[in-house]
Amino acid sequence: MNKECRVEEMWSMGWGDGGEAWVWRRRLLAWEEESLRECTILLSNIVLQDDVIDSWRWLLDLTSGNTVKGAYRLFTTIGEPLDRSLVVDVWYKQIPSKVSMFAWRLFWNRLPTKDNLLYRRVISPENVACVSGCGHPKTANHLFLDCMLFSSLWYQVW
Amino acid sequence: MAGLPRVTHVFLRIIRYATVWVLWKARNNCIFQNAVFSPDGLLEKVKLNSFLWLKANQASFNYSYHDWWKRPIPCMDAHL
Repeated sequence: MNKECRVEEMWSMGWGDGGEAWVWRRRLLAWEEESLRECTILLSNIVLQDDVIDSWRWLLDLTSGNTVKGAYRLFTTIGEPLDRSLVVDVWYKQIPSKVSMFAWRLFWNRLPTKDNLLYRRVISPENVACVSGCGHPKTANHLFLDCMLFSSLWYQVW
Repeated sequence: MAGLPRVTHVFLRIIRYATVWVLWKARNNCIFQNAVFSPDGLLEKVKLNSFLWLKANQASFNYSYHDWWKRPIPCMDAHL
């Protein structure tokens, strides 16, 4: 009922199951009851403290707070398993960032190779052949490793 | 590769990235400029790219393009 009610007032009235903080203008619908139950569970172990100032906390790292490094670590340690050494190796100060970004996309198979374009329906199936004319559909592995024309460079480099 | 000193690995990594970069650029050139793919000259591009990256971002890299082009392994002894 009271939309202007403050969190502190809600808390002192009691926001547990059947607490006085919950006053409604009409009977709640079944799904609303459900939401309310979830809400009271979330609030059940929250205690307000007078002498502590509100602040944001980064739960993954309470001491140094939110950092790009911490978020990067979060995103690179969950998800598809792949060779970790490759991921870490992408960022080197000697390599231009566009190339690092390119290598990163390559390792995650996020380059717009023809197989990926087909998968996202950018091109039609008759256009997937490798540009070298070798007849294989072009995947990242094919382009960089298998295709005879392209991969000949690796032997020259080494 | 295992027998080479640790600093060398960073150089090899740069060369590796230069190689995939050059391959991708060559592929783009075929697709968007309708060029006919030719492996000739790609090695030259790998050498030039890796040299320019090192020259720009690695203060201790004092070698000339000729040194790098001709004998890259001795150039890799630079301290990182």
